[in-house]
This record gives sequence, structure tokens and C-alpha cells, in this order.
Amino acid sequence: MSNKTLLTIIGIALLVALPFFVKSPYYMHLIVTIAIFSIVTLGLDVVFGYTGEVSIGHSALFGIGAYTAGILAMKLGIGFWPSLVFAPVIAALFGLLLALPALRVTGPYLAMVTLAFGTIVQILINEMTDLGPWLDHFNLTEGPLGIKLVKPLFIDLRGTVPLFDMPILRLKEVEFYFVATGILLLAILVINRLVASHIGRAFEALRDSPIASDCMGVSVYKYKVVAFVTSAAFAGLAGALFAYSEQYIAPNTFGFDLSILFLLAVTMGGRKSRLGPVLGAAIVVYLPNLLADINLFRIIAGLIAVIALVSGAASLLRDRSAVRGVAIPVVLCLALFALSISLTTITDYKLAIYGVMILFVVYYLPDGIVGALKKAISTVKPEWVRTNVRIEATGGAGDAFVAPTSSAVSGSTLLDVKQALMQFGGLRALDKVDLDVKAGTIHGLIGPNGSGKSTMMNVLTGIYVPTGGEVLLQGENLAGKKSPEIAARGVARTFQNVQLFGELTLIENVLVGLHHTYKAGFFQVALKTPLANANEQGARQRAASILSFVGLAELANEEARNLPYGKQRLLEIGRALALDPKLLLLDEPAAGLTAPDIKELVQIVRKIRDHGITVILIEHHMDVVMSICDTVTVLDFGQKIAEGKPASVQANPRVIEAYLGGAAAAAV
Amino acid sequence: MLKIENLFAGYGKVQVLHGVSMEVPTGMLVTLIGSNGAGKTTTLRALSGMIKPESGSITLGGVEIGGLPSHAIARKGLAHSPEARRIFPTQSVFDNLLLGAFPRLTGARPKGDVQGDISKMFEIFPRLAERRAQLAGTLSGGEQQMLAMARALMLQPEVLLLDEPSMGLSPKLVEEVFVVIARLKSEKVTMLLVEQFAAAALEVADFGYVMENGRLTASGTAASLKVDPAVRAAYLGSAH
Amino acid sequence: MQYLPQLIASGISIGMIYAVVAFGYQLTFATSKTLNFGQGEALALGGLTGWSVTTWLIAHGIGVGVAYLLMIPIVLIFGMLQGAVVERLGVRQAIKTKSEAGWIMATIALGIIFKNLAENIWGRDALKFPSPLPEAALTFGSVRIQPMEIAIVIGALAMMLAVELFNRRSIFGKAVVATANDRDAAGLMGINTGLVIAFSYALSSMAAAFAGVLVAPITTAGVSSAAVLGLKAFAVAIIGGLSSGLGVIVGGLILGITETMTGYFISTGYKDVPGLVLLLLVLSFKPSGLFGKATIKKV
Repeated sequence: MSNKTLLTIIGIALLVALPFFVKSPYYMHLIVTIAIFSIVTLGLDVVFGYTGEVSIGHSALFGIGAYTAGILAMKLGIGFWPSLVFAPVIAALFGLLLALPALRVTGPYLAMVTLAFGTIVQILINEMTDLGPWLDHFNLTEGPLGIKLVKPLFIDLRGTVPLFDMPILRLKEVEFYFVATGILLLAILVINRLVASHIGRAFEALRDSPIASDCMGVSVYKYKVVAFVTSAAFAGLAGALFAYSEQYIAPNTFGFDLSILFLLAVTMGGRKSRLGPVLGAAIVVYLPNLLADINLFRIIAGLIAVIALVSGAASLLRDRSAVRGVAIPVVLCLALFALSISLTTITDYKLAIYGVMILFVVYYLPDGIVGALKKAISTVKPEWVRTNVRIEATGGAGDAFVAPTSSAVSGSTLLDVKQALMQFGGLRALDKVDLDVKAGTIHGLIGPNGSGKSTMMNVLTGIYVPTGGEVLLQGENLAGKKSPEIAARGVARTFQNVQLFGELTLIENVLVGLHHTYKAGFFQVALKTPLANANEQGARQRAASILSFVGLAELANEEARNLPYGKQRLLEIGRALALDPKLLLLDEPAAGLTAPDIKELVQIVRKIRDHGITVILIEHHMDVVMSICDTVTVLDFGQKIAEGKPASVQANPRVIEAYLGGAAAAAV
Repeated sequence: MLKIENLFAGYGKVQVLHGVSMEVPTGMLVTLIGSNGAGKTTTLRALSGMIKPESGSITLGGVEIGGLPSHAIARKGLAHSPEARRIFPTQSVFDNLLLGAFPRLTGARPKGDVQGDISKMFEIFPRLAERRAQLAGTLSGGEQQMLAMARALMLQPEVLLLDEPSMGLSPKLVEEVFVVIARLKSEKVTMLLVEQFAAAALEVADFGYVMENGRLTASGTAASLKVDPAVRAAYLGSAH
Repeated sequence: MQYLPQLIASGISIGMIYAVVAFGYQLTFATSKTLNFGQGEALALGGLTGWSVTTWLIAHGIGVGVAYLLMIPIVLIFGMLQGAVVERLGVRQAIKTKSEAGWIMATIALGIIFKNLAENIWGRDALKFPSPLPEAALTFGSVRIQPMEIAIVIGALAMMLAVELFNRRSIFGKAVVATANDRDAAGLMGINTGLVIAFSYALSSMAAAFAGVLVAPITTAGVSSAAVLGLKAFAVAIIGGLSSGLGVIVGGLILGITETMTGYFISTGYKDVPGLVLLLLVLSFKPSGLFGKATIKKV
């Protein structure tokens, strides 16, 4: 039995025993509320932690869940269990309704849209007391008056199990506790499976580099919607539990402040973990109690001030120049203590304290409590953290990388670009360029900076939609298709400025490229069906063989952002190969590499061609271009000025004039 | 005037410059040549504070400027006409020139005769005079290059850094740009010129450095570099 | 339909208020690609500070009109300081570390803090703001307009015009525009772009604070509706395009008029909804705004 399973069993045993030790109904209720909030924050973490988007609308989704339960009970007499099904579904539908249009935008725009959504929902709950003459003036939400519900008694255990011989109100509370924590554990299990799956990797990939995700066939838009809707369902589920736990809901509960509290909980606890959001929820739920007792608050503020002073002094001893960095937080903590002494009541300043906490977390705890703990532990015992977080690469790392048999006959035309025109305002970045790339060759694309090479790459991979012309891949026109569609047809690429998924490990980067091999969907992942397992197994073996092909097998479990630059470029090529491409576009793969790295790169590119994959290579290192290209096309001012065998292009006077400056000609 | 010692710089993890030392004496035109990706632009960016050098020393007129933010370096008299020109597209040609003199207009550098200098720029670059009220974003590539150079000159700089003034220009325009550079040289403007057209750059320069993979591999008077067999083989084809 | 001219007239003045606040969003977005999520609170604080100054002056025997005029420069300075605080505490660090979630969360947090402090200083209830102009409405045919509504339109236009003139005529204003065009290149010109960003935040909050004292005499001063107001002004900024100067006036008028119509034809309870729905729709289908230009993404 591993340590992890043991810990899990102990944890569950503690959770089961808990209600028999906590006799106070007040604290019982508090614990249930923590469990419910945890479900929301865990779901919010899928959006906020994994896809990196800020949602300020989760209180509304939570409210929709609560009101679904409330309206079902009050208007239709439908009880607890069915509402646990309806609430997440309705909240997910609202989430979808919001996500479909809203997730075209990101960052501050999305934050504002979700905030607007939250405000609209709150207004609607307040106002929908009269649905108008057509609906018989139906009072849907009871408006500001709110809705009352009754907590159910699930099974009357009194008289059967002696442990449960307790007053009926307490029995209801205890039973409800078991239901709520049971659902929380289920939520943790599902989210664990989800984020460890190809779907979870897609979330992280699109956060780290949306463009690379799209070009790996992982549609950024689709997976953002999936993440948001999943998150909405969890919020809705929690909302239904909340309605029955409180036995009363009113619109004011589900406002802007609550959304901020959820965000604070996730950030403070620690993103991208299960423990973090739960811890954050616990703090956020317990906080009002803390603030209600001014003396307790003074003690805690005093403790914080002491800790800040000591740690500030310690870091000054280590590094004297850090005065400014240390001074601000220390002064702030002291000010907090002074404030706690001077105030007679703290409840009026509750919101300001939340605000200060958010600022503090944003600046000094960006990875949350769990993140900070992990960091602290990893400096002492690195192996603890590593093995807990990452799954080992399984399967035959020694397997030879086998490319799929290419459907194109070597020497026939694979890619036929006809009169490609790309216009930005008055500028013609591509001015009616023809390009004929034969299958099984390495086709060089050179030209001065700004001549249109990268524009061509972006047109070929759907990042730009050409203003005119056709891009035919084995006869099918790609112009106007989106990046993921083009990737699915077998066009892979690397990027001039490396676009890896920094927070994913090497093998996970390649697994994102293998996304197309997964057949299991969301629910199969959640249920861990044999298909889902088989997909993951197969993909991991394939990924391991690709990593050894590019010579990175021993680094499989390193995070990509920790790689040296040269290896990052190789990893990008590996990830592109995972797409099983017919055509591989390499955009300045040798830029910034040292001479030995370049040698390794040249060999790998040759091997790729030998596996039957056609390559288009943009490169400034002329020796690389001349030594491995079968054909070279030269662009200048968006126009093709020469094309042919490397030697003939090199001797072309127009090319020398525009680009080579005579350098290469002399070298021959 | 400008002295660089053992400069290391790069972007994040990618180290581009590996210990570069060079000098630009007062009144001289020094050129830095090398192939694409050798680190020429990175050198200029480190000099003007667009990226922070990792180590090494940069002095301008004996004053250390390494590691200062770019606006502070500009106020000390280092002008940089950047790669890809970077003119202010929504402002008029005239306003672009005024902004070039920003430290002079705000008291950070001696004011002198700003209006007179603008007239002088219009005299050196007659095409800018015709377009003085036009928005800079509507200029042609060649005109934008002229504007970028004129804007940098408006600082009345101690040293002028020129990054690939020929980039993306037609041969005829490249020629025009080099005529202007020659004129500035005759007026004793201290310049560091980065160029991909090595032959043209060495033709006009007093002194040259050759850069490869972030290190200087050769240096000497422009005349001596022009006849250096290694430099000829790598950068000066028989075509020129 | 005979009320239509009246509804349009009432919508114009509130629309101009949105336009001024939206204009503030544009100022910071242009220089730093960041926004103050507490912009609504900046407006409310301006209104409340203005209330305190005006009532203090009146209590000291100064006439309401003169008091109002004397108060304006004080509120403008207060707004600038408040904006500078937001930039220093909420934005500067996040710009350095390129953390989008960082500045979003931090400016939200500052908004909450300001709101809470305001509640403790001025109370939760809205305060009646002494009107510097007669409150009796002027009638133009069937349309009745309060003099203060006309003052709002004039004041809002004057504010935006003043900032635009500053940006176009003075060398410091040109430095602001240069920073908005290309921050790196502006640095090469000797422009301290960090300072410019701080300044743009000061101007942005100043605009909001000014809007606060303009609108307070016809509504009230208070923080309770600050967040929604900031959100609706953001809708206007988006409709106008975050990078397009005068689009905000059109956007403000569209929203202001839609709102008074909704209040009249449906229910005042729903009057915030059209602005929010408009925000959803415009962001979803034309994120660059009705007047903005689409940007080219760089790879």
C-alpha cells in the first residue's frame, strides 16, 4: 500500500468520525458550508488555475444552482435528490450560454463579461416575480423575499444504530454532512481524473500557449468552453446543496462579493491543486467568525506582525540589498496590527480586509499557501513533491519512433500554394506567391527579415486567413480553415520564438501533440473506463518513443520551462511529430543554437525526412539551408524572386542582391 | 565616447552575447557586421537599455550607463534608431521629430534650437518636409526609415546607434540611406552602424567589428577589413 | 410614443457620464493595456469627496454655486491621487511580471477597499448632493430638461476635450500618445514610460471623479451602485472601442438612451440589464468595438 492510499484512508476515516466529535450545531453547519464552498472553488480552479481565465461570475452560477433547487422544491414539490441532478445541468446550460459567445475573448474582457453575467443573473432573480400576463403573472423567484426550503431527513437511523440516537435536527445535520462531504470527495475524484487526462492537459496547454495549442489540433475555444461548463456544473451542484443547507436563499447572497471570495479562496489556497481550493474555502468561510471577535483578530494580527518582522529580519541578514522588497510587507503587517488595536469593531471593515488579503496574496503568495508549502518542502525534500505531482512516463522508452506511412507518393506534389495573397492594410506581406512542395523533400524558404516567410507559415497553418489565393494540401484547399482543422489534416509546425507549454513536463508536451489519438470523452475520463486507460497507455508509449527520437528521453518528467534553449527547440519538433504530420513546418529552428546543437538538429531533420515526412524549413543559417534542402524558394517584399536547387539559388544575382550580399556565393 | 567591456546579454534563458568588448571613439563611424542572428541587434538593444545586460560595463563619455532604464540612457545622450523603425504611427511627422527632442524640451538635456534642428532635418531629408503634417503610419517604408533616423538625431546625441537602416528597402532607397549616413559622418556625428550589407557598411565606416554567434571575431579599420581574406570570404562576396 | 423625445433627452446626460468614465478606461488601456476594475468606485469617491467639500464650504457661508465651482479643482486633484494609488499598488508590479490575473485581482481588491472605506466614512446610504443650478426643469416643447443635465453634457465634453487637447498639443501629452503607440520606442526617446502609465491612471481616475461630481446633483452621491456603474461604463468603452477616442460618446449615448427607454417601457428594475447585455453581445461578436480596428496577432 502506498503512502498516498494510506493517507487517503486516514483522511476519510477522520471525515467519517468528525460529526461525532463536533457537537455544536453551529460548527457542524460551518463545516458543511466549507464542504459546499470547496466544491465551487475546486470547480473554479479548473477555469482559473488550469485555463488561467478569471471568472467573476461564479457566484451567479452557484446562485442558479441554489435557485434551481429552491424553485423545484417550492413551485413543483421536487425534492433533494432530483435537484442534485437538475441544478448542475441547469447551471451548466447557463454556463454554456455564457461561454459560447464569451470565451472568444480572454483576460480582462472575459473578467468583465462574467461580471456582467453575474450582475444580470442577480437582477433577474430579484425581478422575476412576475413573468407577465402571458405566463399568468407567475412568480418564479419570489424576488428579494427569497425562498424557504426544508432540510430532508434521508434515513431515520434513530433506534437502529445507537451512535445515531440523537435529536432529529442534529440527525438531519449529521446526515447532510455525510451527503455533502461524500459529494465533495466525488468532486475531488472527478477533478483529479479530469486534470490528469488529455482534457486537463489541453486546459494547461491553452493557458501556456494558445497559438501552439491550436496548431497541435487542440482547439483553444472548444476546451475553454469545456472547462467553463464543467466548472459551472460544479458551482450549480454546490448551489443546490447550499440551498438545502441554509434552508433559505435570497438574491443578495449571490452577488459580486461572493465571486470575489471564491477567487480569493482559490488564489490563497493555491491554484492547480485539490488541497488548495479546499483550504481556501475553509479560510474564507471561517473568516467572518474571526473578524467578529476583535480580540482574536488582534492576537492573529499580532502574530502575523511578529512573523513578518522575524522573516523580514532573516531575509535582510541573508541579503542586505533587499530592504525595499522587505520593508513594504513588514510595514503593512505592522499597520494591520496597529489598526486591529485602534478599532473597536472590525465587522464594518470586513470587505476592506478581504481586499487587503487579495492584494497580499497577489503580491506575496501568488502560488497560494499550498504552492508556498510545496516550494518550502521541495527545497528540503525535493523527492516528496516530485513523485506526488507527476505521473511517471510508462512504456518502452526504447521503442523506435515509427512515423505513419505517408499517403503521398514521394516526388508528387504534397502542398500546392497558388497565388497566395496576404494583405495587412496597405502592406502586401505576401504578394501572389506560388509554392510547390514535393512529398518527401526538405523545402527551404529564405529571404531577408520582413520578406514574408513567417507570414507564409502563418497562412499555411491557419493563423492568418489569406486575402486571396489557394493553399492545396493533396488537393484539398486549406485557406479559410482554422488552425486545429489544418493540424488534423497533418500539418504541424514549430515557432520562431519557441511556444512550448511551459508548466507541462516534456512528455506531457508531446502528449498534447498526441491529443488526436485519444478517443475517450469527458465522462469516460471521469469514470476511468478501459478505453480511457488504453488511450493514455498507448499515447504515453508513443510519446516516450518520440522523446527518445529527439534525444530527450531522460528528461521526460522535467517541466519544459526548465529546459535549456536548444533542447526546447528539439522538444518543439518532437511535439510537432506527435501530430503524425504529412508536412512539418520548421520556423528558424537553428536560431539561437550553438554549433553542436545545430549539428544535432540537422541530423534530426534529415531523419524526419527519411521517415517520409515532408519538411518546409525557414532558416537564416545558410550552411544549414544549403546542406539539407532539396529545393529552396527565396522571398523578398512578399514576392518570390527565385526558386530551385540550393546551388543555383545561391548563384542567382537577384538573390545575392536582395539577401545574401554575396556571402554564400563566395563560400562555394 | 562609447565603450563596452565584456558584455553578456540575452532574452530570458537565451544568452545571445557572450562577452563583447568594443569601442566607438568620438566623431567616428563604427560598423558592426555579421550574419543574421549573430547578436548585432541584441548588442544595440543592450546598449540603449531595451534589454538589461546580465554583466559587463557600458560607459558613455566615461559615465556608466549599463543597466539603466532606456529613458535614462537616452537622457544621457545615446540615441537609438531601432530595428524595424518603430516610428509613432498615429502622430504626425513633425510630432515624431519633436518627440525625438523630448529630453531637450523637458529640461533633461540642453535645449538648443529645436525648431532650427527640425528645419535642418527637413533639409537633410527633403521628403519628410513634404510630409510634415502627415501621420507617420501612412509613410512608405523608406520614408519611415528616414523619419526614424531624423527622430534619433533630434536628441542631439553624443552617440547615434543605427540598426539595419537598409532593412526592407529597395536598392535605390538603400543607396539614399547610405548617402545620408556619409553626410552625417562628414558632420562628425559619432555613430555605431549595424548592417547586414557588410560591403556598403565597410565602404562608409572608419572602423569595423565582425560578430559571430554573440562574439566578436575580427576588428580593424574598415579599409583593412575590406581586404581581410576571412571577412571577404564570409561577408563580402565577389559580387561586390 | 410622445414620450420619446423626453426619454432621449434624459438619456443623453446619463450617457455622457458613462462616456467620461469610459474615456478613463481608454486612457489607461492605451498606455499600459490594463484597466482599473475599480473605476466605478473612483467615480463614487469623487462624488462623495465633492459632497464633503461642498457642504463644508456651504456651512462656512459660501453660496452653493461658488462652493461647487471651488470644489471641482479639489476633487480633480483627489481623483488624480486616487488613480496614482491604484497604479502604484495594483498595477505597477503586475505589469512588470506580466501577470494579467494579477492586475485584474489587485484593482478589484482596491475597488473593494475604497468602497468599504467610503461606507465607513460617508455611510451606506446615498447622500443628497446640493445642486449648484436651479432644480426646476426648463421646457422645450414637450421635453423637460433640468439645467444640471445640460451642465453635465457641457462639463463632460469639456473634460474630454481638455484631455484630448493636452494629448495633442503639449509635449507631455504627445509623450503619452507615444507611449500608447510603442512603449519601447517611447523609452528610447527619453520618455519615462512608467511615469506615463502612472499619469494615465491619475487622469483616468480624475475623469471618473469629475463624472462623479457632475452626476451627483441630479442623482445622489454614494458607493452602492459603483460597481454596476463601472461595468456599464466598461460596456460603453467596449462599444466605442478601447482604442478609439470619440467612439465612447456615441457608445455612451446609445447606452444612456437605451437605459431610459428600458426603465420606461419595461421596468426600472431592469434598467441596468441592456448595458450589461450590450457588453456581452459586443464583446462576444465584435471585441474590437463598433468603432475600433481589428488588431493583427503577432506570432
